Order: sequence, then C-alpha cells, then structure tokens
Amino acid sequence: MKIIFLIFLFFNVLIADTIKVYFYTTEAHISDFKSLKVGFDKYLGKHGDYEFQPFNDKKTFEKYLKDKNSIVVLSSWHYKKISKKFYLEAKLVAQKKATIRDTKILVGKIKDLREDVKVLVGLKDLPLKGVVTSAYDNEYTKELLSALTNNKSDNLSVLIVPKEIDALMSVSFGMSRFALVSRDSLRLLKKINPRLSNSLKIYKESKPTYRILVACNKIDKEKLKLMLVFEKMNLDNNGKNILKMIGIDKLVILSSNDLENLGGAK
Amino acid sequence: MRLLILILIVTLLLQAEEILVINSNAKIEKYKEAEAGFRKSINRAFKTLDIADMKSSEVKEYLNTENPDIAYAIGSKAYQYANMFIPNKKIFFSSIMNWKKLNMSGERFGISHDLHSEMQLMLIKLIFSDIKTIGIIYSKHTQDVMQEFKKNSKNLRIKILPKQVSKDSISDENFVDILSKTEAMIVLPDPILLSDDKIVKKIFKLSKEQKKPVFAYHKSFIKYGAALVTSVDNQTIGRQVATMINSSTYKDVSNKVLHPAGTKVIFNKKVVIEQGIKFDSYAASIITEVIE
Repeated sequence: MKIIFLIFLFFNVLIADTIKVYFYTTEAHISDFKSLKVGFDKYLGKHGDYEFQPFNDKKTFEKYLKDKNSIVVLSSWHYKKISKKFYLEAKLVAQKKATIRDTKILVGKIKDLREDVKVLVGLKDLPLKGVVTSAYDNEYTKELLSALTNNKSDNLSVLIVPKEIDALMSVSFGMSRFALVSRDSLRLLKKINPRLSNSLKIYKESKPTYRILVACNKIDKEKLKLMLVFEKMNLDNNGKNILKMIGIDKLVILSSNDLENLGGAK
Repeated sequence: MRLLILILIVTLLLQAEEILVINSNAKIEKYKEAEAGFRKSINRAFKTLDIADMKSSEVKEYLNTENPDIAYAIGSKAYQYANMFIPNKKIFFSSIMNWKKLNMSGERFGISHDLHSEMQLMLIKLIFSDIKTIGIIYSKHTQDVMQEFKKNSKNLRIKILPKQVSKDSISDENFVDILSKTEAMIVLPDPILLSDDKIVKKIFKLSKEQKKPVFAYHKSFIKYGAALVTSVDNQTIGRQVATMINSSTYKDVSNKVLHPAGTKVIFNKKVVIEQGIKFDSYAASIITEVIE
C-alpha cells in the first residue's frame, strides 16, 4: 500500500511541476531583480504553482528556453530573433497609454541650428558623430543605430546607461551627443522638464515596434490558465505595481494580425 | 591612396597606445565597479595595477618601467601617483570626491563623482511630483553645491530654500525653522553637518516628526530614514571612460571633466508609506532598489 502511495505521490509531483516564468528584456534595465521576483512570485503564487525567474544576461536566458514547462517574457526584437529556434508563439503584448507599439528615437541637442535643420530635412546627408547613450542591450542598440542611419553609424560610439531617463539626461547635460530612447521616455521628460525637452531634437525615428511580449511553446491547459493570470494583472494591486516596475500598464491578447506581423513559430 | 595609407598608419599608432588602469584599491566597491565597467567596454588590451599595498617607490618604478601612453586612475591616490610619475601622459580619472582640487595641468580628462544637480532634482520630481519646495542646510564648504541646486531648480518648478549654518550656529531651531517652510529636505555632503552623527540623526528625527521626506546622496542614509537616495552608477563611470578612450571623444568636448551619465535610485518605500508621503508609483521603472 505504501509503495502504491509513494508511486502515486511521485507521479503527482511530476504532473504538478512548477511552471517557470522566464524574464529577460533587451529594452529595459531592471536593476531591482529582487523586488521584481518577490512581487511576481507573490502575485503568481496566489494563482498556482508558478515561479518567476528574471535574467540579466541574454545567453543564460536563452539556455533556459529549452525548458518546455515555461512561459517567457521578452522584447519583440528578441522574440523575432529566436521564436523559430525555440518554437515560441507570442500570446500577450504589453500595453501602455492604450498602445501596444512604440517607436525608438535618436535625439540630440541642437548645436548649430542651420546645420541641424539641413540634416533634419535631409538636405545634408552628414553621418552623425559622437557618443550615443542607450539603456538597451548592446547588440540591439547597434542594430537599431545601423537601421536608423542607413548603415552609417560607424562614427557613433555607444555608452550603455542604466535607464532611458539617464540617456536623456546625459544628452541634455553634455555627457553624450545623442540618446537612443523610446518616444515614451521623451514624453516623460517633457512632462517633468519641458524646457529641457524643448532643447532636444529628434534626428531619427524607427518604425513602430511591439512592446514586451509573453510567449510560450506548446500551449496547454496550465499555460493557458497562466496567460489569463497575466492578462488580469492590472486588476490586482500587487499585479499593477509589478507592471509599473517594468514600465507598462497591462498585458493584452495579441490579435491574429499582430501575430502575423510578429512571425513566430507557427 | 597616400591619404588612405596615412589614415591607416595613424589608426595603427592610435591602436598601439598602451593603456594602464591604476586602481587606488581594487577591494573598495566603487573602485571595483568602475574598473569592471571599464573592462566590459574598452575595445583594446590594457593592464591593471592595484596600488593599495604598494609603496610610493614601487609605484614609481612600475610606472616608469611600464611607461603607458594612457593611464586611467581610479581614486585620488592613483591619480596623484600618475600625475607625479608620468606627468606627460594622458591621464583619465574617476571616483574622486574632491576632483576640483586636483592638479589638472596637461592632458587630463575625467568623470566627476557627483551627479549634475538638475539630474538629482529630476529624479526627485519623477517620484515626488507634487513637491514644490525643498530645504537645503549648507555651510561655507557647500555653498557652491547649494547654489547649483538653486540655479537648476527653476526648470523643474521647484523652489530651493537654503539655510546657512556654521559650526557655532548649528541648532535645533535652525532645523525646525527651515523644515516648517519646506515640503522636503536635501542632505548635502557637508563636513560641518556630517561632523557629528547626532546632528544627522537630529535632522532626520525632526523631518520624521514633521512627515517631510529627506533626500540623500549615499545609501548609508537609508538607516537614518532617507526617503530617496540618488547616486552615481559606478559601472557606468568606468564605461564612460572607456567610451572616451575608444572613440577619442575627449578631444572634441570643451569640458575636460564630465558628470556621471548613469544614476542609481534607492527608494525607501517603507519610510514613505509610514510617513504618508505621496509618491508617483508610475516612476517605479526608474528605481534601482526598493526598501520595503
């Protein structure tokens, strides 16, 4: 009888395996992993056997993606790069101020108004030169800069800073010539320091890209349940606080159109 | 063609410049972090020297033998030795509190150790958007710092209310007086205020009684009840120096010493909630560490 009970328990443990939530984003520097993990585990723990695991290194994060019993939170740029390799399919997308997409901008301080106007209106195809502050992953920053400047980013040197607001403040106070940030961040600067934001100009702007995604491989009943828990995060006080930590308002279901734009495993 | 060859030769010569990182004490956290940031971002080979346990004569001998083209001095002891023993070389520096007192003749470039005061005020404003008046207690030693805050507060629609004190005029009345006129306080690294632990405790005690948040510049103030600590990110400082060297951008800037580009924000949520101070939770993404 005891042996049967133990076998039953063993299988039960196997079946009720904890679903892991792996988090890594190339677009946000989360320094306080401890608070993020505590917050997520507290919120997810109320709904089932789930565990949150944030990563600050892309390579390590990708090693864990082989774990089938997991769902992942990642940037749409990263998703496009690895979704086919790891059979990932995006299910949810972050929403902020009612938008699921944002653009990246290269801003700089106006130095010589006449020269800058020529560059801005495209009369002068001068390669941009100087230090660019960015809070994104190095590889992502370089790829973005190359795309934004039509492969003329050789004269730009990247300086990685902890936060987008640091990147903007650096360009404002002379520590860098340009800052690579999201439109959201420039709006934030405008809100708290309009005079400073008025001294900056947008030199380049990317096409809109999707915000953070929640994806998984091989959806099943348990993962569907967990997706629903994520979708309802903004309705819970603790959940809302965690979303604010990663700079978003809520997570919403991706439409079939959006899924098509994103590509992915299927 | 000639021009291309010339550019190639110049590039190779620049690449061949030898770099030496001189660390005042690699065991000290902020120095260690600056070196780590530099290591990750520099695009060429370099050597390191930890001078913590070395005699002056040993450092001299090493520097004369090594004779680097570029030195990155972390901490004031490293800078002083580099400046003394290899004065004709390019010297970059960081992590020095009183860098304004350094002998800066020659090719000297660096990152100061204090955040731009407007950056500090912006970080405060992002979290405590309702605050319109901030008090600063200062002495003759920190008058310039206070004036910088005052000048840079206008863009943010914050009014700085200064209160000058001297060694003899420090009193509870002074603190109570300024606290009654402001919504918050900023603590400066002032030698008179910090000369006695009791004074620091008193400022925090009175602020707590009046439920007014205190903003500080070092995490050690968390134990006294600081609501927010804004400080430099040391790894970014190391990366800044590396970027200056990698791209030779130091040649283009008019300012030989730049402010740090990265910030660290410690938010004492526990104290803020206890004192019922209003804060903007949407600013959570700029916070480096939360004290719950």
